Amino acid sequence: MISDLFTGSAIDPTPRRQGRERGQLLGQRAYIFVLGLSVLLHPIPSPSAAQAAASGSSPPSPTTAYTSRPSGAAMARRQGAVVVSLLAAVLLGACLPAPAAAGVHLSTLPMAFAVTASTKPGQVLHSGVDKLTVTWSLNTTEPAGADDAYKSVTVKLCYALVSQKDRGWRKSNDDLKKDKACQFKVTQQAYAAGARGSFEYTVARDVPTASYYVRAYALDASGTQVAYGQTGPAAAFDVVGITGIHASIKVAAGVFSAFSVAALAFFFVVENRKKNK
Amino acid sequence: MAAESEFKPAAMAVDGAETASSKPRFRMPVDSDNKATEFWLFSLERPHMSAFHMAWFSFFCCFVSTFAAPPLLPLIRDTLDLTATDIGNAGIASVSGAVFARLAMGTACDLVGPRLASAAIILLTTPAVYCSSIMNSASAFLLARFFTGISLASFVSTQFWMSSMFSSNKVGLANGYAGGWGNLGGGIVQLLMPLVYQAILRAGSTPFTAWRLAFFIPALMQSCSALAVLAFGQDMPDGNYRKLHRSGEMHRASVGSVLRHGVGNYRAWILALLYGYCFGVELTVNNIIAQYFFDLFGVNLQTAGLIAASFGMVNLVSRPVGGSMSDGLSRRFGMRGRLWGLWAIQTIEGVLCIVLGLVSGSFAASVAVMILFSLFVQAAEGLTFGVVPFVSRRALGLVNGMTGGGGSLGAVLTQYIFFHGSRYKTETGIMYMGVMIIACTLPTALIYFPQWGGMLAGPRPGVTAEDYYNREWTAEERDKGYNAGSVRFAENSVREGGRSAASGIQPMESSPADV
Repeated sequence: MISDLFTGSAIDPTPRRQGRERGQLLGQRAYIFVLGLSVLLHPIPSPSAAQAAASGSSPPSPTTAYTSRPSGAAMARRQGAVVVSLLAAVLLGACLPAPAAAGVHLSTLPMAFAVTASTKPGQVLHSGVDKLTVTWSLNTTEPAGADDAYKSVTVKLCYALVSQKDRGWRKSNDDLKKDKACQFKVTQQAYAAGARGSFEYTVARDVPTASYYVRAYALDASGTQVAYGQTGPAAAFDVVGITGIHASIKVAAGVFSAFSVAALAFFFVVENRKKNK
Repeated sequence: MAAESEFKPAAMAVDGAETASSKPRFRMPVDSDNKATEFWLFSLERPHMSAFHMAWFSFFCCFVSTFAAPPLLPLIRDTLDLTATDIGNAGIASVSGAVFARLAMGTACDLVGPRLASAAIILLTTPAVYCSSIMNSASAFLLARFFTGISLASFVSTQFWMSSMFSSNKVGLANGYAGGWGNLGGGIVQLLMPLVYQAILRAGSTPFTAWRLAFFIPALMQSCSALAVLAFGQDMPDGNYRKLHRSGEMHRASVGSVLRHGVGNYRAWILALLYGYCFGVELTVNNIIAQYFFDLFGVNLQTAGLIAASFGMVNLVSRPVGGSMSDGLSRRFGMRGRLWGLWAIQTIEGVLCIVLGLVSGSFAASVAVMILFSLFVQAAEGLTFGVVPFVSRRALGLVNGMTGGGGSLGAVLTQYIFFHGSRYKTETGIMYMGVMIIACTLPTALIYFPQWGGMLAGPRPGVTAEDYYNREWTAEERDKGYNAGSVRFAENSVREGGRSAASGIQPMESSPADV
């Protein structure tokens, strides 16, 4: 989900993922804390009021003002302290979790499912409003018993190639752990052998404007993908996402903008009147 | 006449409060120009320190608004269906608006004063931030970022204001703190916006609405800071420009003369180039570094944002350190010290940039080098603005503007040459950027002040600061006393000649009638 990118906690997390993310968050918070502490504890040059008083009643001309605190060596020491504390924070940051191990490769999976979506090619669906029905069933070309290992089915909405163009953050990848094209889960259900599974999906409100197709993965008991199927590239459909703009936001933006400019004009008028008086 | 009294020999060593009876009293020690000779960071004393706090905070809010979009890009790019090219173009647009705006700001400061100039530009660009919440297409995104980025021109008025409020022994430090704490906004916002977004989301909003509402926070901060400047700020320790113009204490500048003395001074152009390769590099790195760590090391978005924020947050101390290093070097070696320090720090910055591109194999090394690199980038910025106040007095604002504009132009150039399209991999681009930094820092050696010297040559004997600054005024204008401010400044910057000049030798005083 898009919000995953930010909150780090999925809307529907598995326990293992929750634990890993909690660890990540803890590590990151420690990093912020140490970095902030090292920056804030860096002594900021204090007012030389003491020196000014000490220099007595002599007028604070430019020449006498230079006899204030010696800062050459002190400055170098402070700079050294900053570098050391920052490097310490950085080493802590280096303890942040390493990238995850590689996952299953799509090219190794058999295309065992025939997947259909009820949309017509090029049809436009509106987020949060329109529905589509997805069906999946084992391909008749598959040998008998091929689906013994399939325990559940996950259906996902994937960005069509035209919506991936010039958008590196949606790129397909053979390594399913790194694949970014299939970001939206339609449904996850138990697999019923021999039956045709189907699901009526109301396009979620956080699905953005783009072209999509549908892909279904068969998962074994441990949750690893073992087979897949998808609708053809010609069957891609469009979704029009929610803009998120409400009338109240428009009004607020307009009012505040007008107020800012009016306040400026007000001050100018007042200044002019004072000047002409 | 107020102007004549300034030329009494006593003006050289007298407390500002004791000359003409019309001079106001200040809690801080001031020089003959009523500029503060000390810098009390945690004081709100009027007018000097309150001006400092209003200046840095309003500039901070501009940085927050300009870089509010990058941390929320993963949401914005999906809502608006943006491509990588759209995002790249918007990034360049966000820094290019300020290039010419900074030049215009410099002249505006010379004409109407920093208070009105900064408040005007901030309040006029705030609508772009409010309207960022209702943008709905790639072109709207580009325009919103472009107009919001224009607010970065308030940097010039911030530096100008500090140069008007603080004496030459503290001007580097004051400029360093004001500039650095303002630049801090570019780092803090990378943490602030995701937090605001999350809070709004928890309050019950949907993701695509929550990021829009989040933009109101920087916009409101920006409006309030500008209104505070208008209500509580003043241009100079003695008052506002309009009041000073009216009483005759200050001569009203003409655009033509300001332009001639700013654009015609080669030192301003060299400083603009130098600033392009410290501040410009900082802006570029602000735009690319989160994605760099995200893509290269597979860290998640929060971690990448955190690292990006660290780069900007070092500004809290590093830029003031650069400014005070400049002042410290000037105490010992005068202007020559300032110039050598600037060259050395910016060259080390270039070396570290090359190293950053070369250690792309190791995560810990990259983060460590990046933080060291940010220290030197921001210190170089502080050192550059340690030199800027001395280039010209008549066209101070324009020189500030040219340097600031050069900074933004550097950001546009480096992003366009090294980080646009797929000509270079990012780490190679970073390495070549380091080489360019070193090359473009060499012209520091060409800066020469006849009264104080340059990097490679000493001062010309017999030339004083007064001669240098009086060159900007015609004999007629000097007769009328228009150059009063320049002469006071020249007196107060005696120590830029180094230890020998500061300790004993009195500069020759020339009364205007003789010139």
